[in-house]
Amino acid sequence: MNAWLSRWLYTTNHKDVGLLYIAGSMYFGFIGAILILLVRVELAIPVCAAGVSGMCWPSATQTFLSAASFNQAVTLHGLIMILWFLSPLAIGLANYFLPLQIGASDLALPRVNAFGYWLWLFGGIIATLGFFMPGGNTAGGWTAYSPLSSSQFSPGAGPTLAFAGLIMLATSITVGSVNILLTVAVSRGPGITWRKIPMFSWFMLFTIIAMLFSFPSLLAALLILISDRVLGTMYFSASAGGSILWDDLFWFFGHPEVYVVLLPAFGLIAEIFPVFSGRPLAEKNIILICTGAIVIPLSYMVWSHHMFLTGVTLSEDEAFSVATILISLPFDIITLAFIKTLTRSSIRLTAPMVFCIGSIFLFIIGGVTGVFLSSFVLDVVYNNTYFVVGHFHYVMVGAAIFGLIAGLYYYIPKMTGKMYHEKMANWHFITSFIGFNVLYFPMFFLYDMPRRIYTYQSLPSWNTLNLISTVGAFIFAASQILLLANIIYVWRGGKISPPNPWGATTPEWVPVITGASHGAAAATGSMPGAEGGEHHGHLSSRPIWLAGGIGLSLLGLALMVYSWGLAVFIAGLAVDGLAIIGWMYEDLHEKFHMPEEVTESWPFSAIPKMRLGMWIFLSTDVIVFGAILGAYLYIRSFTPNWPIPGSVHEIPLGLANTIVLLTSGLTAFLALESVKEGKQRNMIMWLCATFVLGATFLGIKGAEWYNLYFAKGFTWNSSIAGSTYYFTVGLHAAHVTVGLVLMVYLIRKAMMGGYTKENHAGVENFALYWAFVDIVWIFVFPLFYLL
Amino acid sequence: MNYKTPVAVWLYMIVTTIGEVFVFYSAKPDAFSITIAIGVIAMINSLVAALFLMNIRKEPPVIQYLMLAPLALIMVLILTMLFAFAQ
Repeated sequence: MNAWLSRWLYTTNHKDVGLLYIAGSMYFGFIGAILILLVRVELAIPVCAAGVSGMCWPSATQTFLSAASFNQAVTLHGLIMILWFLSPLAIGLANYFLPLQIGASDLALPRVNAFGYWLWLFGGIIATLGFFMPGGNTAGGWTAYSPLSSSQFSPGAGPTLAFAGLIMLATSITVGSVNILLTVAVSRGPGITWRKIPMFSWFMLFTIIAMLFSFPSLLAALLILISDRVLGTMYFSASAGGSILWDDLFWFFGHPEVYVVLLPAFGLIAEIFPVFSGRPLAEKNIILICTGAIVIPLSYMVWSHHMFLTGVTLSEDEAFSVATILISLPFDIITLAFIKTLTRSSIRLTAPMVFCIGSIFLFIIGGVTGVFLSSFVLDVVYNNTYFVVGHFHYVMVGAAIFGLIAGLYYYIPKMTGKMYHEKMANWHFITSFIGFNVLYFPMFFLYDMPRRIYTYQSLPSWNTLNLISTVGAFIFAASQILLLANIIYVWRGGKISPPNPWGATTPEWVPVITGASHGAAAATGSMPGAEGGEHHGHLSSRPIWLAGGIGLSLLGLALMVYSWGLAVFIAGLAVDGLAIIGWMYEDLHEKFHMPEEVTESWPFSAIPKMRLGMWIFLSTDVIVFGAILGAYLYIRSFTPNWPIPGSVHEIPLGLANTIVLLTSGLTAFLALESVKEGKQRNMIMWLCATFVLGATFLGIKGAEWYNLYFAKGFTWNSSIAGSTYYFTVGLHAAHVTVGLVLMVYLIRKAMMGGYTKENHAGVENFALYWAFVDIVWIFVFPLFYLL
Repeated sequence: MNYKTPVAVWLYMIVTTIGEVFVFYSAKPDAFSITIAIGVIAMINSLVAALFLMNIRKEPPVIQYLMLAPLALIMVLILTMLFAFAQ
């Protein structure tokens, strides 16, 4: 394969992956912008009153966009901008600069990093493919509220494709979060203690923590949604209180997501302000404490303010209202600290600096208007109006995008070695700032206009404001051409930049930093790979194939309505199987090897890297299973006439299977203890016993399902009890299956002498995973069989 | 190798799981006390598995907090969902 192509398809280098993220996010940003421009054209003018002509749509059925097209455009705009543009742009910058800032040679798990990128990219492509399906894409808003997102109200393969794409995205973010958190925890270069971590990396760390526990909730909700749509389970059916269940699971992710989008921009501002003001960042420690408080616990304590009008109790409204007001306080402090940094300083008004100042200005407006919405009394008035649209765009577009663009300009010299065109960048800011405010400020005065309506009758107070807003949208969109032009300018020419044009003091600006053997040197082509040759040791085709296989199987799942959907699904599984075998082959034969390095890792010094990674992964799985078991408890408590315990499931069989699984937990533990004592033979024996017990568990489960499904007619779509049982037990069975696959690898490696008394990380991680699978079953058995 | 502890933990979990079933059969259906008793047994079992099979008791406090944080968050979510409409 062409060397250039294989580099970009198979790279695992953090800089390359970072650039791929940045390029990909800009592509999706372009799509999202086009979609909203269509929406703004539609809303620019009203429908003509009877007998009136002029600057208005002739009738409600003769508008620029049909109602269905409008709904699809506005839905995908929201999804794409938040999940495939804003967050990934920050993740791209973090991929590139976080390892450099903390002196790491790369991210802790480079192949997992590349796998996360391809999952994200394929997920975005699959989500947008829905436009080309009969009936179009999902149209229920980016929140995918239930039952709007159900097959009944959003029929067709298009919406299923969008949700399948979202599953890939949520998985990508979850594995990416584990990876970045692990990197900061144990891969910091010598001397990079926690106190010396630069602010951008600190803010990315907080962002990752917010992602770590919020995206698994979305993943759980989406898995259920896909199951509802494809298999016909009934979780989100309105009769079982499903719409509120979706709200809770979605907003448990959705509100922290606001901070996920915002905090990287704040991290960049915290880097840029000191550099261009000539003063150190004011109140650095207080900023960090406030950000920590925002992420955990506050960001997880406010989600229900999105549900003030759903009929929850007054006391809950009050509690979440107070929590929402409370979360504004640390933001106030952070904003004041940023402003304090600028006071009595010598400000250099370069492009990064003006974008940062603009970001803070817009954030203040967005923040103040958000306080209005924290009151559940005012929320009755403002909910679902353009006031809300104005508010969150000031926060998520104004503050976040302006901050991220500041970061792009700030780091262009570092990424390219060239200087951008300063005058063009300044004009970019001026036109963006004007366009943005012309676009969104009028929305605060449209507090009586409902959002998500595709057209409206002529009203003097709405017409002008909507028209102004649309003009602003075009100015704002057109101004981004200047950013594109500047990137082309740098790419095609541009003046050579000095190594540190801003006089910054953070480690990433030091030309060669300690420990940057892979990250820094590989990008310049001087890295001898494990098998020799530039980049060669850091290329792996497994991530793209594995992500592609998952994409293909989800594509097939979403297209099951067609006769060939099953074939695509099976083909995807086959590709996955081959990719997993290939991944394991690389490991068994050390084709992909990251050398161990001396790093700062307190307070994780006593924990091997991979074990810490497994703990972090399991912490996310706690949320996934917790959300699913919570959904079961919720549905159970709101559903009358639940089958009497013992009337459907055969309790003795369930008990026997539980004993089998618990016994496998013991044998897995004994395998670990054996290898710790250097008894490889015993380890292999215990691993084989664990495999047999795990397979027996699945076999009994299969027989039980067969009997329930065919003999008793207890299917996943026969009742809500069936839906919850098959989904929860099925997800657990999927975990057991993954464990069996891992065991095949472990046994093979053990037979090759791959595990010793000193080196047995794989077995240790497996034992942790398997014990977690046991623990989940300890709850599943009584919940579904006995209660 | 010290077999005693893991085997004792395994035996304990087997016995208590059988105990759960015993409690189920010995009480009236839908008795609230069953829910409480079985719930408590399951929670203790999971704690024992985490402490002894996952060896979380030997991990540094930071790992223990790492596992406690999502547990606490998910409990907030579940309790909020269950009591959102309780009058």
